[in-house]
Amino acid sequence: MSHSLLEIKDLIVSVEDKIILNGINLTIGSGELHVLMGPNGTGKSTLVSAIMGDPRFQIESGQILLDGKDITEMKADERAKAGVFLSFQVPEEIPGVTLEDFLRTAKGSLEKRPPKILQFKKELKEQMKALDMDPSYAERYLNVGFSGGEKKKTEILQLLMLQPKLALLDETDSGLDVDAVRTVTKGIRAFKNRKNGLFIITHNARILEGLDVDVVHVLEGGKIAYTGGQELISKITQDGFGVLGKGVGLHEGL
Amino acid sequence: MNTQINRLPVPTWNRTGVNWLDQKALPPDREYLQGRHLPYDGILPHGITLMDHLPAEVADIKSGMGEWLDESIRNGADKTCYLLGNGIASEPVIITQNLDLTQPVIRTHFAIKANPGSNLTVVQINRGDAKDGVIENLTQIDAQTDSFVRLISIQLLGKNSQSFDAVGARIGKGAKIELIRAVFGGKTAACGSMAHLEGQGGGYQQDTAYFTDEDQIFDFNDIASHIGRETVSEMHTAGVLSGHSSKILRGTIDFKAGSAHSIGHENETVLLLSPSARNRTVPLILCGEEAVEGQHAATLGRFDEKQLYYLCSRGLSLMEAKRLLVEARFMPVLNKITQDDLRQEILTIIERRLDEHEISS
Ligand SMILES: Nc1ncnc2c1ncn2[C@@H]1O[C@H](COP(=O)(O)OP(=O)(O)OP(=O)(O)O)[C@@H](O)[C@H]1O
Ligand SMILES: [Mg+2]
Repeated sequence: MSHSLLEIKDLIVSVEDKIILNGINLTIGSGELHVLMGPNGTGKSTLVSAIMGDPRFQIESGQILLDGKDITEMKADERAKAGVFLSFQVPEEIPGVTLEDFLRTAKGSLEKRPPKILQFKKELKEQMKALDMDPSYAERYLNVGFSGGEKKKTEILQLLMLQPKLALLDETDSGLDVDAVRTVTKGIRAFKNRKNGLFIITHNARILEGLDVDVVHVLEGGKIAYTGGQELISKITQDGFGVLGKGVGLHEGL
Repeated sequence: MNTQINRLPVPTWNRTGVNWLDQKALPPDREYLQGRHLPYDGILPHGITLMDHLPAEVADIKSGMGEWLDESIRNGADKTCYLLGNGIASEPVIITQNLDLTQPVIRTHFAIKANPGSNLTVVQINRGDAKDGVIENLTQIDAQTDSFVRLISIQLLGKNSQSFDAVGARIGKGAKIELIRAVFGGKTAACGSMAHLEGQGGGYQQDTAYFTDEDQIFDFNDIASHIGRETVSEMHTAGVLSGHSSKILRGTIDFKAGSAHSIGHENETVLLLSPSARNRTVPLILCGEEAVEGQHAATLGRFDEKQLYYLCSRGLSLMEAKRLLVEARFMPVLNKITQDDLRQEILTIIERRLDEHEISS
């Protein structure tokens, strides 16, 4: 039996005094891939931000455990060091810091010693190639002037280079062309192993093609309104969230 | 003669405090010994020789600091360094000047004449400290047709000294001059540059980075004067202000009649680390010609919380993230400094200042 990698207990999260998440319970086991769906503005990004430790979101009560360790009070960098990674829905631009320098600094911080330079460069080159990225992007300032799709690919590049335990992907497939989605999915497949976990937010599920999904959650009304297997995805993408009926009621009926 | 230093080309009436260098940053009122005009005696790389006498047309090039200071350095210089570039210089010329008790005042008259098609880089490093120390540099550059001159000026003085750094540059047809400045030290630091873009297609690029703390007063007066057709100027200034320091930047793009199809851009970013630091900026674009493009942009602010969070989410501590964002501002300047030890020294200064700032705040 897999042990639980991420455990969320009765999590209540607010932003600017407004409760967005009202009692989230969720467990992701190691080696598992979970999908999070839900209408716009229901709080999907809020949930992954709260797991990552975005200071703009206030955790009112509840607990977040990673590998059994309570990370609820930790700052974002400590959570990253504990093994959490978030692929941002809207990645930041950092002028003056090249992609390569940034990744080297991040890797050094996570591993508590600077990476071996030649090995690092070799790995970066290989991963960029696998993601169909122009190698010259390593020398460019992070995300500055990158297209929407290029930014998303760069997030996956960071995922592959930093090898976290738990990867949270917030709509990484939005804004990607058909080929880019396939490349990103290939990257995710390369990342996935029996020990780590993935929590993927998607609206169109294109990113999941060829991936084995273990559990699908639907967020509505501040709660996980529905939880099921892979079959939920096609239901939702074809017929919309309406087919699930009144979410919260269903959940309570389970 | 106008004795003001770093005077705005067109003084403002409503904000008179910014028209020229503040009284507090003037050179100390003292008797200066007549300088001896000692010529530079260091080694020079291939492609650069020393001129015994300065051609009059180079001595006439005005800097951005005003005639009074130009003349006082020209007449009273302790040292001179008149360089002539011919062909492609094999290496940069690196000139270090050190203030100390035995030499609390240094006035140096630099000149660089770049013959047509030549290419050279000069690095000036000013360091050291002395009670009431003063370092005054005047650098006059004559970049002739299709030549390239890069001047890198690094100021790392201690806090008892004052620095004055005047640059005047004439840019001939198809020639290009780059002025790269990193300014950290001094009780006060005044820099004034004037680029005279005379020849058709000439280019001027200026990148300045500075970091103030405590009670430092920094004052910049940078002017790109477009005279020839199709000339291009880019003036970029990036700075960090902390403590009770203050900074004024006057940035002027002056399109003279006849400078048709010229382009001038100036931009500035300022990071305010302390609410008591004072930032003032006076951008000025003068148009004596119609078919030109002049642009000014400025951003002033504190650390961007979203950027900090993004960096932290990748494992950087808050301090590491701030350090990275501050260093990022110096990158356009640091990238042009090819001497590794000098780059490292500057990075260390940035780190130390940030540490001090963290502790005091
Ligand atoms: N910084 C903020 N300040 C105020 N309100 C916020 C903030 N961030 C999110 N919200 C609000 O929280 C709610 C949930 O937003 P969130 O971004 O988590 O939704 P989402 O499910 O990710 O939506 P989408 O599918 O459109 O990405 C929304 O009503 C949003 O307006
Ligand atoms: Mg979202």
